[in-house]
Amino acid sequence: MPLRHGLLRIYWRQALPATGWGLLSLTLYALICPGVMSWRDLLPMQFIGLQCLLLAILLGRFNTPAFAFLYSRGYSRNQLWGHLMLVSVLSVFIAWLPAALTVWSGLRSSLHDWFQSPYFPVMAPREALVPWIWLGIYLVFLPAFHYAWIRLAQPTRGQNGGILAAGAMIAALLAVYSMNGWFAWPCVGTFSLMVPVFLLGARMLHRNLEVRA
Amino acid sequence: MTAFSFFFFLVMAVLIVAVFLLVLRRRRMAFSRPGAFLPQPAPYPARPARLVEAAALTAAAGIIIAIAATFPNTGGNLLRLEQIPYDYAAVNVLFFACAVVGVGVAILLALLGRTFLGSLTLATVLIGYGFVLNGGSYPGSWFLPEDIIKPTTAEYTIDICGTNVQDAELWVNGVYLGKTPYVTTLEDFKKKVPYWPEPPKDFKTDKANILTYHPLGPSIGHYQRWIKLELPRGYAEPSRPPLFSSSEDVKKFYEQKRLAEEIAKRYYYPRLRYAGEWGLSLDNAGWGGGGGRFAYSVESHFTVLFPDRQKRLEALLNKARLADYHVGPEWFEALETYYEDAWLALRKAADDEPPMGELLDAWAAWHYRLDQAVDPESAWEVFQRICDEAESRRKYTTASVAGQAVKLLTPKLPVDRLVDHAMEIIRTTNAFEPLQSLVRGYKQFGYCRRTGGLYLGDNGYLYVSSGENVGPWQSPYRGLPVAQAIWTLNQQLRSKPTLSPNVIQQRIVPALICWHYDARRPESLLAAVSFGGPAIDAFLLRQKWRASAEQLPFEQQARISGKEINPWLYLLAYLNDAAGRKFHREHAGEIMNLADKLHAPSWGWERDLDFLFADPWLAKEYWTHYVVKYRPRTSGEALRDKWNYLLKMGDATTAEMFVEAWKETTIDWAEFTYAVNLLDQLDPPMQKKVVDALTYEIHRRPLNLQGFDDVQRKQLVDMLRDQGRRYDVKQIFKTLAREKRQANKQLWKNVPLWLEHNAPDSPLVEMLARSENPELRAMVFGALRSDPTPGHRALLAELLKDPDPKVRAEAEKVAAELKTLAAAPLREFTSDPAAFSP
Repeated sequence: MPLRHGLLRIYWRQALPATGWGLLSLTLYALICPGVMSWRDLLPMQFIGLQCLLLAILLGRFNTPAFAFLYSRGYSRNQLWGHLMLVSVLSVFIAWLPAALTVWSGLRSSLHDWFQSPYFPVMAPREALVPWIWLGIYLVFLPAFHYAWIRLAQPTRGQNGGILAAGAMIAALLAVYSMNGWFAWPCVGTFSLMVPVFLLGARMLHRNLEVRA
Repeated sequence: MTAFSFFFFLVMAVLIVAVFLLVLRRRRMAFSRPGAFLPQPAPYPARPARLVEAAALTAAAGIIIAIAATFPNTGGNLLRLEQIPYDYAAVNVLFFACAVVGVGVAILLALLGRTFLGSLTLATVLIGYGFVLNGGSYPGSWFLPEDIIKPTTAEYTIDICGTNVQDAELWVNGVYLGKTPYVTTLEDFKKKVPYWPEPPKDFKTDKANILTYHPLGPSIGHYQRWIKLELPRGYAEPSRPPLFSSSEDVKKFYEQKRLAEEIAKRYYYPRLRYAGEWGLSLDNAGWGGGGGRFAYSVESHFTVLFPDRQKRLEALLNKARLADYHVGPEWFEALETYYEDAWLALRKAADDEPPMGELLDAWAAWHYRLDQAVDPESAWEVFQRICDEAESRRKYTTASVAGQAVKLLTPKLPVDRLVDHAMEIIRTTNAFEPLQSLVRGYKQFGYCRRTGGLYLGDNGYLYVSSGENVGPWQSPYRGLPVAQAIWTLNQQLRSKPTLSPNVIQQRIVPALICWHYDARRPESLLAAVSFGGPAIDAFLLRQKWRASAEQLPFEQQARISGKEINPWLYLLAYLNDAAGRKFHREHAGEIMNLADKLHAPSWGWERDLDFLFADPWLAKEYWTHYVVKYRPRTSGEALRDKWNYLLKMGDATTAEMFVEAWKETTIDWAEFTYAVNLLDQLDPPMQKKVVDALTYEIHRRPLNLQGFDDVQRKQLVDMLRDQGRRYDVKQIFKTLAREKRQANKQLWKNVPLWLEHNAPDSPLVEMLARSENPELRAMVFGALRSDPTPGHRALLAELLKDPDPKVRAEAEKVAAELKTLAAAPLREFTSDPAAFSP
């Protein structure tokens, strides 16, 4: 699939508020969170969820004239889908990578050490896994939310099915967050399976998406 | 509600759902019929949509239902079906199957394009399943019949403590049950063992007396062969009948409860036999229990002595003495039949007899083939074998022969590899909490889940009550030799002040803080504070250690012995490095306040105040405070508590402090009688100083002895002097040499017995053996026979040439006995000679 820079720019501009929110919220959180971060912390999950939700809302305004305009410029549905997902992934990386590097590079640890935090640098290794968990949450939320709006734009019955499916994923993720033990690993496997399912489903449904402007 | 009703409602629910679906189908058909006045609805979703949504519901439902069904705290029993009654297990599987069917219906609906209806069904099923599992005191409690959930079995273990004997034969109320540790169920036990409403006729008369000799006379201990056993209680039944019970049910409930309590109060009468010898009971049977409603296990244990076995063990040690401590593998094989009692005996003997310590080294070298550890690589292989053995035996203690092997191996181990291995264990184990009790001066890293604990001789028992079920985490057993090796390495490294911070302070301590930090359990960081170093210094000093416990966030409010404390100050008080000592001196007031808070006149106060004794300066500082303020002059155990405190201070204590403690206490006769025994723990010169100073004080008629007349004061002095004289062997020798037999019959009669049975290693033996009086020389033969060390045998050789014919004849007799002992086969001195096979 050839890369269309113009299309990419349009999507990128649309996704900017979500990217900005993700970058600021997650990086600032990674930088200034005073305690020892844990994979169970709900706040970054909320930041990530909101960023993914914003991405889905901003890129999936299928009943606006701008959306209709874009879809009438001769791009194939697959091209549109591919560029939309590429921008979403870029947005995620722009938000996640600085936050992860803040943790992994020792910047967070040094800063808190400088502020005389008792937990740093000694607790830094305990946080090394946390950015990977954030990325995992992105992987669960982003395809599910994109699927939700694409499903909403289908000219078929049960348009809220996508929202319900994404809601089920959120519920399952929260259930995993609330427990300890070996069971987390099979859950990771289940979520990993769901990522391609949502992506494939969304890509296929996107071809029949109804522009309602 | 019965099981039948439950099935009825289930079938009804399925029927209602089916009717509902049919109605919906009918409606859709009506709308699409040609000529209908409403437009045809939009088409069903495309296949990908249906598949994706069904997959999402499947994944979410799978995760949630699996959590609910398998995690005990959500009422899930599926992973422990074998532990619950069969019928109840079947019901749990049925609940799960119903939930799975419900989920299946939801998925089917999603596949049919009815995602909303599917989600609604799924939510209903999951909420319903959750409610069934958690809606009462146990899954299904609000509608299942009571009988189905009653535990049918509680595993019941009976074992010995007080002696490390395995395979003793157990009889209870005349019924032979099997060998210890005996495992059964409470129900089977009650079926198999008849109840005796009265104790056996010879309950009080079938006993043995064991004498403990002192220079002025023996004390007698009476030990019964019958043991009095109270059966453990099963799972704690509710104290009240369930809500909304009928009056008949309430009556039945209380009748059953009364019956259960009556049965629980019954006594049973066990007896134990080992190697043909009936055990003697210390009359301290105990019981315990744990687990949940369906996997409850209980245990009984009782302290039993086997004096003949103990004599065989002492004779085995004597054979080593007779061989000048050069023993072969057969001797070690014989020794190993005594399990933990073997190394306990060697360690005890080594206190006054260094070659016994060398024998322990030789045993460790033989057992673990330490000769193979010639370089770091081979040493590491041997070390791994010890770790594997700890894992397979599921027990380990530092003081054991395995611990001795680790101590000998540690200098040869590759430091980086050891530290890497320890780091890995620290990172992957959540049950690793080193126990830092002392056994004969050795710090313990121990773990054992034996019923009643692992008997550690004079040092009590090693108990671990939790941590076994560590899930995916590494089991703690193989970590214990590593912990000991790290501890030993730390001692080696800290003896070289140039190496600071050392590798442990640089790597192990940060890892301990990082992976075991839990402010609510400050004990988890005690090992780190013992190691010291910049990481733990910064970690603790930057915390809010000045705040009161209430001012700290909830997750930092720790409890020690039920009192809320600031965990940071508590750990800083333990901190064992230069920064810690500086902190103790600069903030002694805060630490004293913490000690005041933790101190209570109750059992275990010494353990709670251990941090004071980690730094002798701190213990001395707190003493003045402690002696005046926190021991009211009239409290029951005041003198004992104060003297115990001083004994814990070790070398930092002085005779004047003992006197000060005494002066600050209103003396009570019984309390003094108990407290005076504590002076035994002092070394003789210090003991003499204390006794002399206290005697002087008593003669001064102090205020704390108000109510004591002259006779009673004299008795106090006699008690003290008796205490002093018991260990002042020079004084005993002088008295014996000065006074004739007729003048002090007691002393003449009891000193030989005391030396033979309770103090064969006393320096008095040599004094008497070399005295000019043949009667005094004749006093030592018992001691020479019971403790044939090379020194004693040299004395015996001198006595064989004694000018006095009677002494000479007695010496020859002892020499012959020792010769017989040396020639006797080792099998006779094993724990159970009949069962021994080399």
